[in-house]
Amino acid sequence: MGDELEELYRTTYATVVRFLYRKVWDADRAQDLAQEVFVRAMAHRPEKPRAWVFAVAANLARDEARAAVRRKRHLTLLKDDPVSLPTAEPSAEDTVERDERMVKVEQALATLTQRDREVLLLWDAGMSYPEIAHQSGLAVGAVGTTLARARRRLVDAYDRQEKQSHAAHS
Amino acid sequence: MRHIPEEELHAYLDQALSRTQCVEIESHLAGCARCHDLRNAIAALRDRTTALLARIGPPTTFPPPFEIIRRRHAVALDRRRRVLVRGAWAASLLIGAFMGWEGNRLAHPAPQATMAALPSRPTGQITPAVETSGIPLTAAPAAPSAPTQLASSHTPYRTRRSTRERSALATGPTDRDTSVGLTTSYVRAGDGREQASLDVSALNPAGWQTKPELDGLWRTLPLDEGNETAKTRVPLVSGVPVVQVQVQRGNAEDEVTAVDQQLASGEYIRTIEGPALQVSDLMTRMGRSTPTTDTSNNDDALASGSIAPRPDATLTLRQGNRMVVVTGPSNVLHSLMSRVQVRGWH
Repeated sequence: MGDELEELYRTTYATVVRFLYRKVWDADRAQDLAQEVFVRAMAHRPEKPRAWVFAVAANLARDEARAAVRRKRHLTLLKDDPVSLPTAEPSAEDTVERDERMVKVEQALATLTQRDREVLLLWDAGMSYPEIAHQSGLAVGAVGTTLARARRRLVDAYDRQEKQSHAAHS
Repeated sequence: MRHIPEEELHAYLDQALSRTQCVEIESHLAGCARCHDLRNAIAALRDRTTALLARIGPPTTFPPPFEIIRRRHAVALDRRRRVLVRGAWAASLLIGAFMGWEGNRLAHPAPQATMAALPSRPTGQITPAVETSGIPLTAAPAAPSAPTQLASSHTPYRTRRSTRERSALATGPTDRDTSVGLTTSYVRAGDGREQASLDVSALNPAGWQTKPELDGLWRTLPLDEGNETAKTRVPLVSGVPVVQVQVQRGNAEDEVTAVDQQLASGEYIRTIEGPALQVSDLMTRMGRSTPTTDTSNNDDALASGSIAPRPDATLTLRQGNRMVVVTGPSNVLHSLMSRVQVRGWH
């Protein structure tokens, strides 16, 4: 089991980090969480380690997002500012330094519903339909429908931003 | 001709369909230009999505040595183990404290008695001949906690004693005994006068072989004078020889009288009459002060009959602020209830 997990770690670590990064938008934090996922896998010895690893990664990312919202709300309260709505979008300071196209994709991804985004990211991480269904709570037959909608919405949102960007430049 | 739904083509391209389904779709695509175009469009959408998502990734990351994971796992295990050990210590301390307390309680059991422990007595109504303006008292010897009440024609205005009063009436050696069957009913007669009430309390199943000493300063009256006093001023059980009459002097209304009578069996009955508060207080102190002999040999003394254990039953009569308490062996006391005479009460 230890060797199997070690092999999974070697082959999946980068994918898990990428999966987490698209949820927490922080590369260092994504790596910390990915390592935490494998530490927990060592303790639990799951039967299906790959699916288990992504399920735990999704849960940790969700907890992290909640904690971030709490921190943000707390800071907002300390500053006596009105509470802003929680959002998974990266902060403005971070977006300045990023590639413009990358920001557009992030923003396009942010337009999806939480379920569509989750299914899309799990598919991009290499999860099978049954694994996606198990983790997202969907029926296996509904995964295809959800994925079709998510892909279309992502591309449409990105194209809209491209058009707006072109219109602004011209 | 049935065209292939879009989501099915997504699943086909994602290789999420069975081999049979794939064969069916491929044979359909070979003959349907519309579905073939749709398949190509979905494939392009899929590739584009993949390309877009590839842009939003962290900088290329290489997994750190797996040893780091092992070390973090060991640290987590150690932390969990320490928490468990702390929890086990706390639990063992709690269990130890509980067992010590329980062991102490078992080693020093508090005397407990209930009416169920008393000898059986005849059922049915008992009508003691208490001379209270001609109104008879009716007591139904029911469950130990059930109050003995007067006739239902009277209007009850209080159904239970307060906790303080019950404590005061308890004759056991500890406060724990106050919980034993001291439920009492007070009633008011139709004309507004308070009437006597009856209270039977089970305290100790042991017999009452000798008279316990009364607490406080008492003057023993000569038997002749005592008999006269007993006949005129205090209640007693008629037909049972009076062996001693003691008086605790006070103001005319504060005087407390105790009459000891000896049964044919050699056991004693004591009847105490006086202000309710003083009698209650006296009963409480009696319960705490007896037995009066050396307690180091309690068991031996009890076995030989030389010790004066607490009375095992108490019969309480109350009228206004006056109270009569008859103490003695429960079995005898129950049979003598009908013979209690309260001559001094009007």
